[in-house]
Amino acid sequence: MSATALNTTARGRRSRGEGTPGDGESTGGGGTGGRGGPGRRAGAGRGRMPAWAWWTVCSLIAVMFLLPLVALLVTVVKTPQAAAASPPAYLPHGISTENFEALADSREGLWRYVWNSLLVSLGTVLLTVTVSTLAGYGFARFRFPLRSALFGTVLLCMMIPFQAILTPLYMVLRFLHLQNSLIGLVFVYATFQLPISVFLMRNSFEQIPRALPESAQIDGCSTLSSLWRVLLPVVRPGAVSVALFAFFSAWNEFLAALVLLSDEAKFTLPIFLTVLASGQLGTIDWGVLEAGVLVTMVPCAVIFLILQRYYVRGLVAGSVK
Amino acid sequence: MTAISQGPGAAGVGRPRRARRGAWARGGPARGGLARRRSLTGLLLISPALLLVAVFFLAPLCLTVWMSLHTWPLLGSPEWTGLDNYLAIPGDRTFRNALDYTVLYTVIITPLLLVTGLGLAYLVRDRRRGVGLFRTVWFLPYVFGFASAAYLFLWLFDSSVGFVDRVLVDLHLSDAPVQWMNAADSATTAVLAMVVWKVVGFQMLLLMAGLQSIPDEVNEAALMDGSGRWSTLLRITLPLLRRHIALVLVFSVSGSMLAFEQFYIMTGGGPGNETLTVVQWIYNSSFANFQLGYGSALSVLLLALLMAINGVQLYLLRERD
Amino acid sequence: MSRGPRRPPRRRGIRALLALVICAVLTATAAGCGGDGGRAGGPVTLSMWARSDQAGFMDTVVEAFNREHPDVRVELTLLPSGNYVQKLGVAVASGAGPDLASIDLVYVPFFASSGVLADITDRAAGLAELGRLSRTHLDQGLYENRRYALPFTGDASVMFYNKDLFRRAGLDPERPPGTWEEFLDAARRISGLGEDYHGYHFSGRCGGCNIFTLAPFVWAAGGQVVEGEAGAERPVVGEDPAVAQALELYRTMWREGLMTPQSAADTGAQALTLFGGGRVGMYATGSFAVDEIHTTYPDLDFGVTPIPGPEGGGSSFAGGDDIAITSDSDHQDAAWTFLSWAVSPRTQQMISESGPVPVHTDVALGAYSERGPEYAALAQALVNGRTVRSVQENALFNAGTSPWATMIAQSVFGEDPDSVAHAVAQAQDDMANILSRG
Repeated sequence: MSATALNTTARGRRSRGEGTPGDGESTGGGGTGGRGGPGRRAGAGRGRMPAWAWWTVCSLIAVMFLLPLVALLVTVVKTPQAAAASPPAYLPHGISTENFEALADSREGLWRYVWNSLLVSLGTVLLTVTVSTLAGYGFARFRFPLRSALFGTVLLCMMIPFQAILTPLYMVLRFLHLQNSLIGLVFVYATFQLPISVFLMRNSFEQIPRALPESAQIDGCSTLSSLWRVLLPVVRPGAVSVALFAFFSAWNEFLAALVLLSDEAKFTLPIFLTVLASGQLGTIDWGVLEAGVLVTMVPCAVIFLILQRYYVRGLVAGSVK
Repeated sequence: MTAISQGPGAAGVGRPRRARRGAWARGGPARGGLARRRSLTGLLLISPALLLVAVFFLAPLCLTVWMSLHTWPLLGSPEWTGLDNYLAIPGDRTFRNALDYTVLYTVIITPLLLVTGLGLAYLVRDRRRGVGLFRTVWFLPYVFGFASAAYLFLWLFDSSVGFVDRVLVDLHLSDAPVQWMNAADSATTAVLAMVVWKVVGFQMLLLMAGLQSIPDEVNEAALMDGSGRWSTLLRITLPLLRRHIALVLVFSVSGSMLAFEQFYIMTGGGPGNETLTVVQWIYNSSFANFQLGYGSALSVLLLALLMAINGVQLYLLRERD
Repeated sequence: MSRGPRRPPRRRGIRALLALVICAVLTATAAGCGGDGGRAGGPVTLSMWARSDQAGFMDTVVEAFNREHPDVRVELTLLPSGNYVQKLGVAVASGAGPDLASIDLVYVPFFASSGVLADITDRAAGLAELGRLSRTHLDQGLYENRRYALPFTGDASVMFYNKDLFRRAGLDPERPPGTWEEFLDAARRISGLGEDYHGYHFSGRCGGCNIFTLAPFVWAAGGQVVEGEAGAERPVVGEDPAVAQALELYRTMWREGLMTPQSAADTGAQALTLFGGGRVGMYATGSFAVDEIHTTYPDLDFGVTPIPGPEGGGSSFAGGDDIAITSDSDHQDAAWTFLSWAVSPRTQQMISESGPVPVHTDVALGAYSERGPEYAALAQALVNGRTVRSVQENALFNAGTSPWATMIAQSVFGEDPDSVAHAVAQAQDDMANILSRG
């Protein structure tokens, strides 16, 4: 459905060969349609692979990327005994849901961990989007003392990853009684999403013509309602990117959750996987563990495939600029 | 009731900001009321972001240094020991090995990702039929978490139930299943496979954006001058890609220096301590040995190291502009 | 108050928003540390933590207690053994710990010294059984002359040997090796039976296994690995010649090919399978292996003997768990009910039926020993055994990264003829380094 969405990154790229010259227009970049046909032909001649070779190479690589996932899918539908067989059979004998049933009944029950992960991820998304929208708006459109110093402080987080301040972070959360709490995790995740998010939101606000909110204010809107009614719709793509980053990072984060959560009933999915992997007497129930891996991966894949346009655009914009 | 106990903390964080604002207001009576109000509004808008950064980033950052000067047990009370923790670092063989290994890992994975990423980016840089599909498939693993990807590959590389050994044996590439995790070299190989699979899509994306920003004419002119394809790549394309390459390097160097999940899950630092990384050792010092002061001292060292690396990278980036 | 009529709405809007954010923060904070709920009426509920590898008997113990005590209910949580201490430490540090914790006795000095365990000196003084409980377990629970834990379950390291292989190698199966010379001789003869046969196996990549099984070789040679009281301990692995002697013994066996090739990589997972396979002559381990072998390898004819000293004598690591009440627990009395019940001969008798060696010496040397010679040997080993006292036991010995584990791997498998001397000196430095920092 969205197989071509990654094309959104083709900023300023003019089409070659049979493409129409109009391709460049979607980018808003420096695509000057004036460069003529001869150039394109030369481009086509300068080493573009023949279609069959290109398809073969790319397909082979794609197969290599997909094989681990295919192996995963094939294995989780085996019976637990078949999943533990050595050496493993390539294909299952029929479809079994036993691994998932066992997974659903594991420890506090799978849904508890899915719920925890959802809570943390959505909480992080909500907090990150709210805080970074406000801050992006403030940084982009208001003058106040120390503005660039404060902006620099927020960006500093990007330079200093939380892994490096993990130990005192744990102490701070313990002091605030937010240790062993999903809400504490939300605050940590949101904070470390802020630099990139504030940066993206500030850029989004800066791209809006200055006249827009002022005219709204003259019409009697307050700062916030002009933000809400006039500006937000314009910066929505940026906000969606920010939300996606926040979601993926919170859903997948491992180290902070490992350190900060001590109560098994509060574990998020990635930490739940470690519980599945530490079976009694060192034995791992591979079928159940890999079913857990699949459950952890599926939401990411689905959300990415649906919204990859926003995700990729934000990723490139956030990194390259 | 705990809300009250949090009161002083929150007020404490808020106070300097209010004071600053007051001082500024007093200092600038000449400005119009509107300007001052807008300035206030701006500060208010960014205050939630500042609050988060202050509590969950700046406070732990400062605390790292403070804790590193103490014997700071997880339980019980800290005791000032000055520079003792720092003086113990040179004699900590485990840390030296971990640092060596982490640097080695970084030195291996970084060019590996760069070259693979560049190769993939070359293949999908042009807009053509099917290109979006391949970009999407190759990028897909990037959205999965390190934890789930590591558990997937832990299973794939398992010597009794994993598919990798099954395939190697079936293809007669190996007589018996390889015990991947029993030796440092093979364990590292397994981790490298996982990391390349998971993150190379991101490198591809950034480098693709870079390639697309190079005007066709540049390459074409070089080819017409009679340069070979390799020399065009080396003399023209790569220099023009410098900024994007530097960016890719920043991501992969700082990411690998902070590597944790893939080793914690796949190798556990073993065999012996041979694949122990720096962050893993900090984690162990703080949360397995409960020597939080020492863990903090190591964190300060890691921070200094990362700042130095980042500084060099920024310098390289700046040079071009 | 007297602001212009048109402006206030805007500022109020922002104020409201800010107030909202702050409220959210505060509410969240309150929710984050919510109390533990009402506890009026009904039986007192105690939470208890134990390691997952004790699942086999811990459930039975807790069920029996709950059956006999209608007014107290113990709820058992099993945590992964690999990071039990870490989880317990982090939990008690944040006030989220259990009421009762069953703790591997090597870690008890750490918890006792850090003030998170309830002082039970006075209660324990009135306990009739106290004098007849395992000495090592009791000692581990003492810190600065106050008592913080009681013995709970026992284990002891002994040498398992395959009687069939002894017979085939021309050795007397009823006369296991009593000196290092005899030990080496037995290993040589068994290795001589064929290419697949090996005299000995040990888990070369497992610090915890080797504090349990290699330290007794050191003790039996009159040496030790740390000296002094927990909290003021000093490593002596590089100074005490017995450590180097024991390592040389292992090194000789490795270089002569008397050990299984798997010894170099085994993290503990392969050991029992190898011994059970019937081609390994000797292997040192603990009580759990007795029942495991009886059920999984019923045809294996094996014997159990103390870990020998160089000129005779023997030693053993007396391990297992102590049980303690956390100082944060709101139910000290109910928790004590469990402790005093746990050390009673009747309970110990019941626990020992499902695996562990009883920590009550009357039971250990009585009913438990009567079950067979291998049980009697284990009971003796527990009574005569020793242990390691250190507040950094994990970092020094048990952890995969420990100087102890590194020292063993380098000494036994190292290529250099000076490997042992080099490794013990390095371990001495590294251990001192660990104790010097915090």
